[in-house]
Amino acid sequence: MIKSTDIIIIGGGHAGVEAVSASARMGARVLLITVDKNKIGEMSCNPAIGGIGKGHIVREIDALGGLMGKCADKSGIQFKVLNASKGPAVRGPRCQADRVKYKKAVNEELSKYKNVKVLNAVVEKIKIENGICKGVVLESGDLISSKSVVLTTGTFLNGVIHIGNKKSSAGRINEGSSNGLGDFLKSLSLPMSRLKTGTPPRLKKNTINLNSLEKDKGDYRPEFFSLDTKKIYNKQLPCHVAWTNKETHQIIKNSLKKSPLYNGSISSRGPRYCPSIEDKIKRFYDRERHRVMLEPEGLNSHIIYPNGISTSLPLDVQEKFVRSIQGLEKVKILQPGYAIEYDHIDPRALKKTLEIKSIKNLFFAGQINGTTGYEEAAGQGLVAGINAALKVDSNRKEWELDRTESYIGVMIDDLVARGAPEPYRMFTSRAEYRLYLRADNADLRLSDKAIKLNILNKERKDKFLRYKDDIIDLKKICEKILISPNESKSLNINLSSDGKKRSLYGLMGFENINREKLVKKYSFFFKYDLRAIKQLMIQSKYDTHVIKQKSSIFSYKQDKKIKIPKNIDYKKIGGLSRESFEALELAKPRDLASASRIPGVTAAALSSVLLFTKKRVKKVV
Amino acid sequence: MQNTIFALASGNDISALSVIRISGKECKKVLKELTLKKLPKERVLTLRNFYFPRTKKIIDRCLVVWMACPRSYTGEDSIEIHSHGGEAVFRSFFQALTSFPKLRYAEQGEFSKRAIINGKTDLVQAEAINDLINSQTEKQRELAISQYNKGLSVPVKRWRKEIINCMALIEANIDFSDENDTPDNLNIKKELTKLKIEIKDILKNKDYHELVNEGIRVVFKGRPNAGKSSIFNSILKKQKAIVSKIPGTTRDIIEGKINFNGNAITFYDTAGIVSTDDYVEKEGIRRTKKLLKEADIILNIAENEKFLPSNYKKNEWLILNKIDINKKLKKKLKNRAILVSAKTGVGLQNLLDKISDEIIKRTKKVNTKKNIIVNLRQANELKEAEKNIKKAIQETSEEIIGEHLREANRSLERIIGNIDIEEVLGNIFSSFCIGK
Repeated sequence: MIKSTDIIIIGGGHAGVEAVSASARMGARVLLITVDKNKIGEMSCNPAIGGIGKGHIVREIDALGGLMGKCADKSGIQFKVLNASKGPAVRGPRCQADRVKYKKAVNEELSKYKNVKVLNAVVEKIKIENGICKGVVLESGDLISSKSVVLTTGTFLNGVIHIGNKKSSAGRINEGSSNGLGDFLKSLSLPMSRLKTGTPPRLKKNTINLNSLEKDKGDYRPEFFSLDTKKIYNKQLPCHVAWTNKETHQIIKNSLKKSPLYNGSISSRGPRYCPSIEDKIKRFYDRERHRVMLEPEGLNSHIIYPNGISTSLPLDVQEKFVRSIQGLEKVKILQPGYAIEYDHIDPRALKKTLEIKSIKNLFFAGQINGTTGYEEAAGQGLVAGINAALKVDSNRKEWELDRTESYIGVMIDDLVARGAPEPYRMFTSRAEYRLYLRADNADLRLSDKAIKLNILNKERKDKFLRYKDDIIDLKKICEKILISPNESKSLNINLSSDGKKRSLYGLMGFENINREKLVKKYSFFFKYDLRAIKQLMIQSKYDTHVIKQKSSIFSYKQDKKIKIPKNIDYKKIGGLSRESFEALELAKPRDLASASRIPGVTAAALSSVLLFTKKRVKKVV
Repeated sequence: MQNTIFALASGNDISALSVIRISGKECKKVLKELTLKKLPKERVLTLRNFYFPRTKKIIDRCLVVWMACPRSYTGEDSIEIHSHGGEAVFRSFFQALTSFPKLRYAEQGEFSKRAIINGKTDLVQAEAINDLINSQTEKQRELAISQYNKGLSVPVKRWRKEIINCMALIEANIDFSDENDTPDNLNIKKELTKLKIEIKDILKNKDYHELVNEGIRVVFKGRPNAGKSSIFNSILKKQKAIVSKIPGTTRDIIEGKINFNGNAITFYDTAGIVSTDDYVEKEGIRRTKKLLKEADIILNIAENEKFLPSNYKKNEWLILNKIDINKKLKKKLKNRAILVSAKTGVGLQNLLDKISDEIIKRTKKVNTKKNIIVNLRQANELKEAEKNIKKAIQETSEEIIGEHLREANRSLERIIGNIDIEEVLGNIFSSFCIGK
């Protein structure tokens, strides 16, 4: 039995796995404690990874040496870049993943780390002394001490599953967990909040008339998540598209009072972007049909995941409405859809490292922080894992990702500044520096940071540094070559004949530039990796906008440098409006930039806080 | 890099002098380009001519002090221009300064904020400034509500709502394009065009903005030899104005701008309208006609009473020149025309006073008519918003349209308050059925 380790990670979901990997790559001894070893890396909801915004996060995880991208590539059975017809900044890689293969890939990756141990056990409580986390106590009473603990237990806190009028406690019946840890967390009186989410029924594949339905295929040439992936691993499968109809809607309408969402059983807030089919029909009554994407759960799986009809209606109603859909007339439901309510901690109680402000060395990551989605969870796991490992050496500084450099940074900044009034999901519109935070440049944005922490393997590091040099080189050359409007015609670019010469770099961003002609005309391109050329073309396209954004990033960073002391007493600051006061009191921002992002905090309040802060600092000195 | 900021540091009231403060990295460049001279000695008041950077027309001749980083209030490179008072002068400076891409008008309290950040103020000063900033904000808010914003916030709120709608459409199409409930056909260009025109209309509040910004436009008209050019030259010589030609025709229009009692007046000397078949001359006449249409005041000049017209437009003032030759006319025609002599200069001062009165009259008229008046900062933000909406209309990439709309929004937000991405998302989720 292990008596002590550097880091303990509780929970083996996507946050937990990524935290384990990050801590392990940081060189710490890691113990992963889970209630069910067989569920490590389980995709518990839809069988897909990535998407718009989410795909960006996966690329960032990969740029920082994480697992999700590699594992998704190894288990991908359909790859598709969403928004392929739109600009590169908003394109999001996505894949359908084989659940079994994904889990296998995760476990294989974890088994590569010599410094990781896995323990199948139930944690009863966290050992805390004088506000410092010292380890965990198991159900058996055994104490395991550690430098830090990362809690990634998902929706298990007071989880209640609803199917029609039936209610059951979640996370216990099948998973054998106890309420001990939940009760213990309650006793810490951390700020908590309650959320709801839902899932659709799972369907038996051979009871669906797939041939009668439209196929939805992936991209002909798959784009992978990880820069390590060189080949396609699996046979590719299509999805199938089904549609609800008037009859479906009527069945649901007639049974609305049986839905816990509408009969008062569930009052907590669910995500607006992931409404149940009941919600869709009630709120968007004018739509004639809704799409149901039938997603395969794996190459050899007999299960189909019908994306679009999450529901908590009673099973008999679920059966009835599903069978009213063309192609699903004889479908068998393997597992009913349900809604789940759960407690999560208010992420405003966290630092940007995901350490909880009130207890030193205790970290929270994933759904327990009010987010939704594998990718969001994994991104947090990575940040928590790195910081947990930094605790091993007390001389090392905390590590943060900024919202100006990454989607993970946007997410964490949003969470700690504004909380999670609904399950938090990533959208590109949340990123004000969207044109710079692209899926295609995640490595350029983040890999240098990974190298500094030494969490990128050597091969990857060398490859990245070469690529970066290539881009710098190539850009220099292309900036020096000047092209007249007349000449540019030979590259398929039409410019007004103003006689003004433009640099080749400037022209590379034009949408209809002919890449073949370009490479033929300027043979030096052959010396460079195609990826570097493509990257330069994208950079050129967004150049003016990114330069503009950089100036606003600069002033944001200035504000970030101004730290607000932990124990600031907002009552002592004159001239704060009540609204500003309450907002600041709740979020306790650590710097001026975060303070400025809190809704309700006015410019006047900011100047008051700024002055008060400066005053205090002077006094201390 | 961080923006360089500027603002009117003295009050808005009419005064003999105003102080314009500029702070930031661009100061050196700005000062050199505005004065067309090398930097003055540091921390010494120096007399300089200031010119518009593009046209090289003069703005003002006044004292300026240059303070290099860190020996200034903010701790950055700074300039203080001690210009002549009056709105017109400041507006000219405003125009000149905003033509530098890295310069923008300072936000409330921003100089002090920079001073604090750069460690230039000590505890006692900081407390004093704290009161100041707060009182300024209060005052600004009061002012904003009572004076400026009463009219402006109504349309700005509406525009903002419309921009949010457009943003919701764009963002829905970007973030939820795989959800099949979002519109394929983005019909926001029509909305945006409408919006752009509305904003432009308010900005075009010609009676006030252009009047003070560009100056009142006074166009000379009259028969050849009536003495137009002599009056023109006589006024401009006395006022030390910059004279330029409007190029492109053989029969040029000559333009001259003067600063009279703090008001800008632009005079245009035209060659007069004669019938001609010459293409080039026709073009000159076309321009003159256009100018006469746009004129605020037309000076219809005659050298002899018999050429004074009996039919003329409302904004047409009759001027009788050469009264030094025919002194008898003086009494007889006093009520019909303004009597001047370009040669002796008699009556010119009177003419300028009358023009000056007209400017005051017009400005007042706008004030009392409850037209929407925007202050300089607001006008600047509106211009930014309008510029970005225009770019959004021309752009085809959705993510870049989104960027321009965000920028446009930020400008409106700086006028009336915060907009949040949550508002856009809320709008998306209430109009589209999104989710799996």
